[in-house]
Amino acid sequence: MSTHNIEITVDGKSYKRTTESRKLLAHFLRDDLDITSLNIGCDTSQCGACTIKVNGEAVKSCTILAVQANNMTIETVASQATGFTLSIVQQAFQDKHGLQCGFCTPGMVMTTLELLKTNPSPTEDEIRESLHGNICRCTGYHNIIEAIKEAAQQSQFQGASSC
Amino acid sequence: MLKEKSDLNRATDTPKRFNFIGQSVKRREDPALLSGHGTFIDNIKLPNMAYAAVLRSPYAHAKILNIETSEALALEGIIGILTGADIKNQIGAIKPNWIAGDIKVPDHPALAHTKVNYVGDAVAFIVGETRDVVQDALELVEVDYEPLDALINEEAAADVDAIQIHNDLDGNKAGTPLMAWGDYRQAVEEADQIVKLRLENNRLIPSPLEPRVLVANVDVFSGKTDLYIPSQVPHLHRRWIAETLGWPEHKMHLICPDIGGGFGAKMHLYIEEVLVCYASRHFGRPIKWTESRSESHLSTHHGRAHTQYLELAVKNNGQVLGLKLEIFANMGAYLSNMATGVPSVNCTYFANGNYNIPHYFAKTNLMMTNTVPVDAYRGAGRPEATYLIERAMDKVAEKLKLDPLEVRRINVIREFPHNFYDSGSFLECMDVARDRVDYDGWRTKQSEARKQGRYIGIGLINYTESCGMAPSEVLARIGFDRGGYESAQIRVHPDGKVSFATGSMPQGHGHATSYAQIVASTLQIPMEDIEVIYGDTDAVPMGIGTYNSRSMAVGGSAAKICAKKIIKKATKYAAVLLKCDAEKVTYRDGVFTNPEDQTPSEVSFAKVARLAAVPHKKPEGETPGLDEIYFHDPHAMSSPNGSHAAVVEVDIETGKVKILEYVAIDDAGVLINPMLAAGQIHGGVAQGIGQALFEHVQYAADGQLQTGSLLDYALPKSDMLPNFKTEFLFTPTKTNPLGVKGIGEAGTIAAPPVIVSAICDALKPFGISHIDMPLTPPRIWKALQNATIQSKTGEN
Amino acid sequence: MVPFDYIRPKTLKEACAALEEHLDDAQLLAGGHTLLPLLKMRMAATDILIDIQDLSELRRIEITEDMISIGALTRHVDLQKSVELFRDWPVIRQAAGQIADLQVRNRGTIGGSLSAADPSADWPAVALLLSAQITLQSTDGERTVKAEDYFAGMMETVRGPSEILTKITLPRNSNNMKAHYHKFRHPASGYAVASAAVGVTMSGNKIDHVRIAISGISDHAYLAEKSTKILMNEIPSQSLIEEAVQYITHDQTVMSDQFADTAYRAQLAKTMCYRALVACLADQ
Repeated sequence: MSTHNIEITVDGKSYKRTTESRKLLAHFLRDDLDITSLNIGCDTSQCGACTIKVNGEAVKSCTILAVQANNMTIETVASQATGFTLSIVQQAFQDKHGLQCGFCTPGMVMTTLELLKTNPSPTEDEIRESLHGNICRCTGYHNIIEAIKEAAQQSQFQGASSC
Repeated sequence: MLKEKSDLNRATDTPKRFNFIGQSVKRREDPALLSGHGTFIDNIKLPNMAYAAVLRSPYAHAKILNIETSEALALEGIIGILTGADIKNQIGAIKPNWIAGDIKVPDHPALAHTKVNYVGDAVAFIVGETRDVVQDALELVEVDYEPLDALINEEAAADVDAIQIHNDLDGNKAGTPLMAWGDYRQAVEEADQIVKLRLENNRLIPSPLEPRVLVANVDVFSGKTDLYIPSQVPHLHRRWIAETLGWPEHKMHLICPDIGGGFGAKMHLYIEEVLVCYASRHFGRPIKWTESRSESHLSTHHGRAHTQYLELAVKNNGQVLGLKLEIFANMGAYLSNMATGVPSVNCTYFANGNYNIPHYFAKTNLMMTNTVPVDAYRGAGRPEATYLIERAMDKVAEKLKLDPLEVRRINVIREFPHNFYDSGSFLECMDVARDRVDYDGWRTKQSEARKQGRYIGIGLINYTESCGMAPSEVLARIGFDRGGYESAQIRVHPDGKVSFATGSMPQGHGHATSYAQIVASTLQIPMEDIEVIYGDTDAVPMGIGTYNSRSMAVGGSAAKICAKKIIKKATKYAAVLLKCDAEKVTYRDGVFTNPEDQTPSEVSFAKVARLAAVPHKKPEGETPGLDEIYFHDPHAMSSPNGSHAAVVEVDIETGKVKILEYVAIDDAGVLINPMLAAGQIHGGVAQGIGQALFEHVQYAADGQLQTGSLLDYALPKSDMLPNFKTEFLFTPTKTNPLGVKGIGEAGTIAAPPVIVSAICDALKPFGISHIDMPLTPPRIWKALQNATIQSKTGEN
Repeated sequence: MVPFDYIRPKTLKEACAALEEHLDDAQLLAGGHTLLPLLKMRMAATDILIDIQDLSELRRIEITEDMISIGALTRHVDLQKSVELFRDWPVIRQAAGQIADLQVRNRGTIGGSLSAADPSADWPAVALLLSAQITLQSTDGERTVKAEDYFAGMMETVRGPSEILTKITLPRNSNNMKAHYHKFRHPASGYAVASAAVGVTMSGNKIDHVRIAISGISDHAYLAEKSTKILMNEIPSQSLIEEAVQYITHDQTVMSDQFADTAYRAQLAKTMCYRALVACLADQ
């Protein structure tokens, strides 16, 4: 099995590491870089708990090899707050009780960011469709949808790029 | 009248300033979780930590002839492998915690050494340096199996010519507990009609989003074991693991940080929990074991899995005189923790639902099969009970050509207490639900839609359940080897801030917030002054845990009583500072007052705490400090209730169901935090809809699990669910000092029957009165095909 | 995952050479959303993974006067969002939007999907509907295969072990064909239990041209020729469409699994096709 030197930027910090070719980005981040702001809830690329942004786009980090992400820029939910002030989306999730156990939450927030970037005022159906790749077993999605509606409204109010 | 009831939720005995009961306080848990700083166990890495994997049987039923591990052991990075032979005399059998009656318990070794009994049965425990290498080694262990015939279905297991899975269990029956009241034979004599039905309650996978995960670290010098475990019941788990290993309990330290959902799946003793501890000591390394999602389908216990036969003795006016029930409950290959009690107690004790049924007889056949063990899953018996009685009400209505709500109204319980129910608003909830869903309006829309070839259906069901099974003596009577109490400990620090510890254990419930609401409200100090501690058996007094929707009712009550004891003692210390008799001191809003107005006339809770911690002056006969510990063992349980209504539309060409409306009216007494309570309803309903429409564990005849991953087992996704309208009624219970009842399982209990009822209502024009769950598009379409064919042949 | 070596060629030429060298020992990795899940579950293994993500020449959509060329590495999301493609073929956006989920669409590629040839995937039906030509490249050169000749069986195509699927070529929609993609999603996997990609061109009140491609039903996507014949040159009516869809699985061996048996799958194919046809006619 080949090993590879990779360089990767995560939440603004760059890392150089050697990785086995078969290592998934999700495991690389969690086990090799100790970045645990993404979770692994399934092995069939469905639950979306591991969603992060790779070069600005929401991606399931369990379905990309670490070596594929060489030279890429990664953002996790850990970089969304400013200091201890939650971002608009994070705050909306708290305000609307859009999380219970919190395991799916990092992925939910990252998918929401992508949705609101491309569609700043989504309809309820559009929100529901955009979350198709993020499973939540606790909330029944009801309050997640409410949170996203709230975040959309808040970010429109505060300027599009601020969510 | 309803308004008055809702006011009860706010009217408590604490004064205004620090009253948080009944307020939708935002969760203090959230900022960390939202920032990716949750401490889930798979995030934990200990120095020198190794990884483990479990080799599982690919056969449903087979003899083990030989296990060859040499090739796997030779793999670089493999530390060692344990097989059944290695641990045979080291680790005891995995035993159930609930023996509900005269029940035979088949042997369940932590690793199978002579025979495997289901696909997923553990055969070897592999320890290595990395996550990947232990997975590689799984493929290198060679096991010779001699396959045997397999039994999957609970009814087939009862056949006289069925194979026998466990030597000591004749007819594959672990037991046949009975339950009865009145005399069903009398009901039959008095009845105008007998209504019969057969129901399947589909097997489910609880599926918390965080799979099970463990990290064990045994200090070989002190013998102290740290076990990070996502447990709903930390102290019970400590006892079970210690007993199974034969290790002393004071050396076991269980730590439960953030848990990614539980739903009952994380409250049973699993083989990995003892193996990871044993292996950590054996190999002298900290060890982490994390199951994958697909592995979890084979290794984490399933839920439900009943076939039920019902017979109802009814009068022509709709009155139900008697119910006779026979359940075939699939136990799986071994008797799991609570498995025997779930159908025989949780289901059969409550099978009359919200209705007054004077004569009742139930028999539960606890059937062993070659499948994953079945145990408590959110609702645990109550969903099976509610489903059967609510389906029966629809059937009675159909048979007697009565309105289904009328049948319910005739039979509904109106007087409390009633049998196991302390209080309730059974009729009121039904009326409110009927109103909120606009039952009559939808009936009109339904008939208009039918003219256009559209099939809309309306369902409305009632449920009740039991929360916080207690007192402990009652648990003894039903063979449940645990207490019914919960612990609370309050430590008051010298600055007046408070550490509160509870034996209950959240998995997303928001206990850090809701317990702080209770303690702050009782101590009359700000919520910020309360730190809530749980999930650490070294830091928390012995408790029971979180399941059975018991945390607020039992643990919350413990917290309140404990806090009251502190005020009582603090009042005595306050009297020292106020230089008056303790009896004269009053306490309000965090301030002790001497009403006789000498100097100083007031003293704060913090000042009193300081004096108690540095007791240079003590009240006569008092000990230093304000800390208190309290174990609350309620004298009875409480019975929340509610009525849920749903409107659905069925696409008869594809069989697909769209839920147009979902209305949940629930009464759980006083709500500590209505926002969190509504969240529990949403999540519960979503899982209930999952059972009704999507989720279905399927086995092939040879015992292979066909729904072995999330590619086959359909968990509800966001675009498969509707919005939920929730509303609460408030009938406080008198069985605890908070007046609270449970809320955690209500949605899961209510949703399956209401969805099925609504769909069958939609399909009434086709003569369809029942389809077994899950009502997937193909099943509905098949039912329509059969119905259409029947009506066509009928015409001929 | 079973261990493998990983190589990452910079150009198509390098990639072809690498594939030529390793043939069946190697697998191409594009977006990875079919292959990686299989490798993760250890349901597939490979000695060498050739990651072709750097082949930027395969990541473009080109539109000329009479042709549309889509590079194999074009992602589902690119196809969903392309304004140019939407002008000619709104059905591409409609189909892309029904593939898996937002995150998967951000990585998965049309070339990867057509190479994997999953019988329940979405692009095979769309490729058949739009008379796509599929270009395959190897060190020996380039060849082009019609979509109807490309799919060979269950996850099998005519692509040779040394060939890389480089682009998909479509005609422009000069005849103003109205097309629709209707899909019945598997509740768990999200793949099509059955889907129909249907296009209709009218001439006056008659159907001038119709094309129906079906996915999810058989071991590979197919054109429903018999149904098409019934519709051709006819005045559309409910009874005509009903008759046509009766033959939607004609000559096909319909798949069955624990979710949907053959009868139900066939019913879904009929229904998806019926609804897509009605939608096409409504657009005229």
